[in-house]
Amino acid sequence: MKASRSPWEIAWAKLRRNRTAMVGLYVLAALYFSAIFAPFLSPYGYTSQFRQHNWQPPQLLRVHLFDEEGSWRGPFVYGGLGADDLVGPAKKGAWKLLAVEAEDETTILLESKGVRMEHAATIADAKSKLAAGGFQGVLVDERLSGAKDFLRTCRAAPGMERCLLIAGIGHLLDPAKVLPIDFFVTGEPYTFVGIDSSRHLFGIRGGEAPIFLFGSDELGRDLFTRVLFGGRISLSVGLLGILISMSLGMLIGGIAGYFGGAIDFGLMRLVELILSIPALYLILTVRQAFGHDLPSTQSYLIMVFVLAFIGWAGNGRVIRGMVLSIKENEYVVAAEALGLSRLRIIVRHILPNTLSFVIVTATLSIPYYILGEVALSFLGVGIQEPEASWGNMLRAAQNVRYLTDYGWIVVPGFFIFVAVMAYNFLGDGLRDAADPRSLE
Amino acid sequence: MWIYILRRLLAIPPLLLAVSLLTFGLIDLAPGDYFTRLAENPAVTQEYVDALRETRGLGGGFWERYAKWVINACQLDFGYSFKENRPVFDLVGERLFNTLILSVGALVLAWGLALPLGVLAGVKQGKLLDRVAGFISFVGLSIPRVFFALLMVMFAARTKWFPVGGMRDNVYWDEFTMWEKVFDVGHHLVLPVIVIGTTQMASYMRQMRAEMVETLSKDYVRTAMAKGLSHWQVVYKHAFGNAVNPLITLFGYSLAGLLTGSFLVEVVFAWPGLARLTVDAVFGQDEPVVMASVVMATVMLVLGNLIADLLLAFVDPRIGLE
Repeated sequence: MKASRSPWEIAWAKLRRNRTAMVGLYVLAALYFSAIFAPFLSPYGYTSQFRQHNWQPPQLLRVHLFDEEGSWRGPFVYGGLGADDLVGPAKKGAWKLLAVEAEDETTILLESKGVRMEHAATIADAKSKLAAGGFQGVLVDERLSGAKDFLRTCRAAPGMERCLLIAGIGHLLDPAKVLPIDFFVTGEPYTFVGIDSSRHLFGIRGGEAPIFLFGSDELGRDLFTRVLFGGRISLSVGLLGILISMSLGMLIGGIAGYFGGAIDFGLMRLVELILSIPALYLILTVRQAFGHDLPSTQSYLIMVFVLAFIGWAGNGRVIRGMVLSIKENEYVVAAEALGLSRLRIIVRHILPNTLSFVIVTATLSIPYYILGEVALSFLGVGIQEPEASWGNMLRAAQNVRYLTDYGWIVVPGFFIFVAVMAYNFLGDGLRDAADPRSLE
Repeated sequence: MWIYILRRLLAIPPLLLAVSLLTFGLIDLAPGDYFTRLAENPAVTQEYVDALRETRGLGGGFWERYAKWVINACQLDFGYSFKENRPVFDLVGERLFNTLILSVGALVLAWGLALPLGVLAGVKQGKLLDRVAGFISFVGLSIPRVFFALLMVMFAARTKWFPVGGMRDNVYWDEFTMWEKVFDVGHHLVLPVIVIGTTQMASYMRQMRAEMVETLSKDYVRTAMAKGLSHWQVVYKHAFGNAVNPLITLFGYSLAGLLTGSFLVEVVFAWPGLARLTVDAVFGQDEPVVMASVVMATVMLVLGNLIADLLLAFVDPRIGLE
């Protein structure tokens, strides 16, 4: 005879057979892992700025293994080249410097692969240079407004062989500057679970230049690093929020359902009150009641509290309904006859029966907290700079110019999407697994 | 039925009273008020600020002020906005209208796509169309609207096919003819409507598909098939009508969310709706505006829920209203 399995084992077995749910689980595991080990996995600290390298485009897809001659170099990226260091590499031969006209080195004439190019500091400058002629290519900073329109006219102009947009200072890739990526490098010191260390998973050898897998922001901070650290906040808001709101919902729903009468009536009117105010309005007003300019830990806790204070109501009502039927069971009567305290009966004998509902609902509601953090931070009352969270990183994208020119700043949004989707996958799988009617 | 409606309607005033009291209390709890910043200005005397507070109804105790607000609000007088110096009723009404344009557009798009796609996915179970629809609905359910809206703004700014925000052309608006104005607003509407509409569509479509799948397995559908009716005749005449029933409630709930569902999208697209107004009012402590918009949004939510319940009872005679 086969040994009988507990409902939990059956549910787990069902879950394991659900492919999408398991994908969700693994994705979440990876996200939480990277958030927890953020200080080690990221090459820098989340406040470190490289002002010279602001708005540098992502290098994730520009990590090379072979150099231009096709020989193996291990992982490396090409170093940047810009007005400030066009002169140096030019001497090495990658670029032949023809002339540096202005004192501040903004007007540079150089030659690359036999093409005479000129670096233009402004679009007006570029246009006048184009009109004047005398060279075959133009380098323009792509951050200048109208740069892309200029590029089109430039390519159409007769005699122009190369018109390049460079992503700002230092962002023109120099094929002669190979920056090897090393693993377990020594970098900025950090403290992780009480251990002081300065080892980072990867980094540029010798720290010659910064590496920005997801690009850098306005202040030259590494978005990859900030996404990892931001995950610590955004993902923990989900767990902490659901923990508080589910405990509240279970306790209040349990009390209302068990005691009934006036207590039940009062608590359920409170639930209705909370549920009848549109959530974001209530969240904003409650948040505002605490004022601004708070230290970061405090504003984090307030945010979680506010979200949980509003989130418990719906679940509280469902749990009350479940408790109403559970309390009719004989074992509850038996517990009462034994003279156990009412709180003990609620917590030990009634609420555990709601657990499968609670676990499924909790998983499906975590996105609400993650998105709540995003909404609050996006509106500017959540996590404050310089702390990183996925919501406040998206705040920079409210500037349309940043959004068009430095599209990579929406990367945190992609992570929110992935996290929410993973929780939905997992929650759906859990719901099927917990449903005794579903086929095994 | 009428008694039920009457009872539900009678429950609204006490609820609104509680909601307004809660909101009023929360605003009162927040440190400082609208005039705090003004008072910090050394050129402004304390007497002046006090006088200003008095005329704007910020003087006096909490209960006194709240009672005054309730009495005025009962006569539809929501006071003057501190910031805009206009009657709140007009201000909120105007913004409300803008929000409704947006969310009704999204509602039409969402339902207009969800029903046919849901039916098709249900009928073509397991086929390519079903899988594509399933994928779209999963993405739509999970994609954060802020992120989606930002991507759309990026798209608009890069292609220049659509305006990146706002509701109308700021430069030429006054010179437009009637139809040009309609076209201009429509042009501004496209992207935000797509963002809200497709994300809403996802859950409706999923539901529609599930109902369709269930209905198609019913005996009466098999009977109709056996009778020799054509496949699509069965789908439309017999299955669809029954499958769509439960969705009518969902439609009611989507009415409840008309004012608030578009909140962050409005902010991203700089749509001059209720969201931007409320956000600014909450942070700027423009008390009369906050009160009015919270109350208004609550009324909408409660009425929407009521309509949803009524619709359900209306389409399904098995459900009686207690």
